[in-house]
Amino acid sequence: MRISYLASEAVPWPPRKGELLPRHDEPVGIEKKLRGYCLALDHKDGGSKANGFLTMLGIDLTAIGYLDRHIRIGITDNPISEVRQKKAEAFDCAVYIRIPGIGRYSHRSAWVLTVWQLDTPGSQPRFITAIPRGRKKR
Amino acid sequence: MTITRADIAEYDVVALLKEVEGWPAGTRGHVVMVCPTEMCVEVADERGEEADVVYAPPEDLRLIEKWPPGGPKKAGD
Repeated sequence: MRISYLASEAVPWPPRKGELLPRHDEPVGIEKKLRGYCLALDHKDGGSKANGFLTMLGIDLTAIGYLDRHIRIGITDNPISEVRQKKAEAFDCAVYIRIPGIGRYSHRSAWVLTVWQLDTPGSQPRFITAIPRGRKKR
Repeated sequence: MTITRADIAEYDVVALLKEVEGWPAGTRGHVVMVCPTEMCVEVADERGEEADVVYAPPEDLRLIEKWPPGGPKKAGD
């Protein structure tokens, strides 16, 4: 993977697996995406994911604050599990972080795969999606 | 129907027209982020056991359904 540096900031780019999400204390877009997509039971096809959040983790729209809060906490505690650059010469990349132990009830918790967009070095991470027990295709 | 960048909005349902990162043509997904040249699409298998986010240019996608049908919801953040 190409590693480049900005002369002005000397920040290694892109971030690497094992590191914390850059600017993890300033994520944007979490509530909007949770409300409009991840937890929207009426979304065509996507409603199945909202059902997954409900059946696996006991989380629905009434618990959006719980999930929002645990995602924000989770990205400060858990390292990047994968970084994907879309094009070799592009700065933007997608960053994957697994957050364990999410669930409103002790007997219904699991890890949640979160995906973040980083547009440029130094930009705030934009929340793309969250997938309960998300497992990549191999 | 082949689509262009202007046809796609966040949360629309699309299908892959060609294989992308191991996901076969025909796989359905949701546009979870609109980027300048590519669409970020969340895809999953039929059982929902495997899921991922892939990037594809709009010409490699087929629009299945606009979402929501009545226009975008207003949601603050």
